[in-house]
Amino acid sequence: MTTSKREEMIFSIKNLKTHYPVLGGFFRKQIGTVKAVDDVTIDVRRGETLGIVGESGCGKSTLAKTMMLLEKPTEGKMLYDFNGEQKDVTKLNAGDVFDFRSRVQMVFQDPYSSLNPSKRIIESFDEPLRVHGYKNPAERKQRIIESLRMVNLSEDYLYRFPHEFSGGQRQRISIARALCINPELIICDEPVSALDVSIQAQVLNLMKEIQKELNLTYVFIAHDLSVVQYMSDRVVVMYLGKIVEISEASNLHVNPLHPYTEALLSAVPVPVVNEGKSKRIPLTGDVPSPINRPSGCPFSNRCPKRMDICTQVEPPLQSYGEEDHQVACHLYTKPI
Amino acid sequence: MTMTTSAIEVKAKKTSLLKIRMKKMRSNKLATIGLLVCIGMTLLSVFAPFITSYDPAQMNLSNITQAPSAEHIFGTDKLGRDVFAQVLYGGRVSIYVGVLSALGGTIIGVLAGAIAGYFGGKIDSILLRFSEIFMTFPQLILVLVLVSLLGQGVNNLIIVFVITGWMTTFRLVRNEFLTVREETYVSVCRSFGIPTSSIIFKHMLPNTMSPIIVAFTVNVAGFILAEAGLSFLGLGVPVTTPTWGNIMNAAQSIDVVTNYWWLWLAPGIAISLFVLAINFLGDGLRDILDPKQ
Ligand SMILES: Nc1ncnc2c1ncn2[C@@H]1O[C@H](COP(=O)(O)OP(=O)(O)OP(=O)(O)O)[C@@H](O)[C@H]1O
Ligand code: SF4
Ligand SMILES: [Mg+2]
Repeated sequence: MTTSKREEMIFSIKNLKTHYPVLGGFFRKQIGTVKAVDDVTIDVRRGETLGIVGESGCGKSTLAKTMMLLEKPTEGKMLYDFNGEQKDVTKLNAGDVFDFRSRVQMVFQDPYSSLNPSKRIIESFDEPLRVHGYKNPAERKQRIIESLRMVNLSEDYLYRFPHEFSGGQRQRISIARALCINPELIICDEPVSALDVSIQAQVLNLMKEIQKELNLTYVFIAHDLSVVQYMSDRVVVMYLGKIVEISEASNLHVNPLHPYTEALLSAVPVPVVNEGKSKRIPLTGDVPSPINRPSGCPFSNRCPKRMDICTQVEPPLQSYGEEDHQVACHLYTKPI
Repeated sequence: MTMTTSAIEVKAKKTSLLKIRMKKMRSNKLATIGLLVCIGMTLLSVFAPFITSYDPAQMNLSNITQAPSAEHIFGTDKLGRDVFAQVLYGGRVSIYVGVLSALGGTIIGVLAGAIAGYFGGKIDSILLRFSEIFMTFPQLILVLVLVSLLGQGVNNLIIVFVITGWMTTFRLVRNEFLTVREETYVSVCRSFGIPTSSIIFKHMLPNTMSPIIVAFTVNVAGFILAEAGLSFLGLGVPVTTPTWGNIMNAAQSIDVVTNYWWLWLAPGIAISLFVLAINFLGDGLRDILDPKQ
């Protein structure tokens, strides 16, 4: 089962780096680099939900935007499966980029600014559809109504303005818009973090239903580990632009390896049965700035299990135990 | 067929938005008065031949510097020309210069500002430096240099005003675009592969329209005043063409100012009234067009 899944890779990110220059001084010279995404390798498998979790500022949105070709990567490859043919999307011509955009869509973090305030709902959908080959206006309208129905919104809303909707409704509209051109992969960048907790579950369940119905692949980003675990098949834990652990979602809270994951887990109110065992591992200190990352392990300045080697050598991402469980920590580095 | 119905539906809803704005407009008294005065004065100028039978260029040396009377309601000037006719016909040129210069400046400012703000980086710095050069150079000297280079004339004056007057709109639009660029819906458009020109002009520009319109009205007023000032100094439109500024040109001597008050008061009031009205209109539009209300 795992192997058959593995063959169906849809989006394969290899050693991706997205760095931003830090400009300063009177002449706005480059005085540093923000390594927002630093050497990230991820395989997204067709049909799965790949969760990405990490604290604020660890580069989740940058990774999402780079995958959506909204940000230029500094280095690395991104292989996308165009009907069996793998192409590096960082090197596509304009036509293929367009093809890519018809296959991959994104739902953004902020539902309040993702709809144009001066456009009616129908207008926000209309141009994407037109650009993507729906020539007939009646067909477009039909398609918009269908998409809205998919997120449980009625067609009465077609001519409303965004300010007439609540955050939850707006996010559903954004989801519907991403769906309207029939993509196969949707990158969801913290789709519910701006919403009321009471609304969050409703939207998450809706997204799950839609995924099942349309056979979608999700890359699901959140800073809340419980949300990611609920949504995902596999979870990628990021810290300061790097992947520190990749695990089956169901296995992560049972067997977390990386001290950072443990700390994240202990901060999450997980409905575990064996209450007596759970103890909080406090995360002390702030996330260091991605401009001057500690040398060696990026987590070393906050890690309760730090060893001497940790500040000197950066731990590589390696499989530990099962093949699908990878971790970047010296506690698990295999002796050579 | 359904296609036309849906198009009509959108249109029907669009007009309802227009209706809301019209209603807001009517409830804003100053803006309404401003609009009516602007339209009224423009119509009077355009239809001048139907309003006065005098030819503004027709001299009558036996009838010079007549004080206002039933026959010449604004009196006559030193060459016996009817001042009322001059003010009416002068309005044509003055308003034409003001509106066209502002329009030209707005178009250049919007284009350059949108490009600078959307793309940022090198192109932005180049355009910004360029505008700074224009802004720091003494405006009046620049105008004088250009006028002497191009020669006097209505259209040349418009060109001069456009060249020297696009920067405020440019900076405004650039700043607006720098902000709007960060809005998520711009990223949404990009992820759908919508063409950049469409993102800039169809998706972003409408959200920056109200300050642009307000700036436009301010510019119209500014250019009308500038035309009057330059013409008063004899550097604007050739004296043979009547403009509000050229009529005032006659009032350069103390003699005229003290003894023939109607020569400068009539065009002066015309300028002030128009400029005031258009400023009221601009202020009102600022509130009316605010999408957040
Ligand atoms: N355009 C940019 N220029 C410079 N630095 C940037 C830029 N965009 C992001 N960064 C920096 O990159 C780092 C990662 O930012 P990113 O938005 O990807 O984090 P995030 O994980 O999505 O955080 P959040 O949970 O707050 O959304 C941050 O330190 C941020 O300041
Ligand atoms: S490598 Fe060292 S510092 Fe980093 S997480 Fe592992 S034990 Fe902690
Ligand atoms: Mg983010």
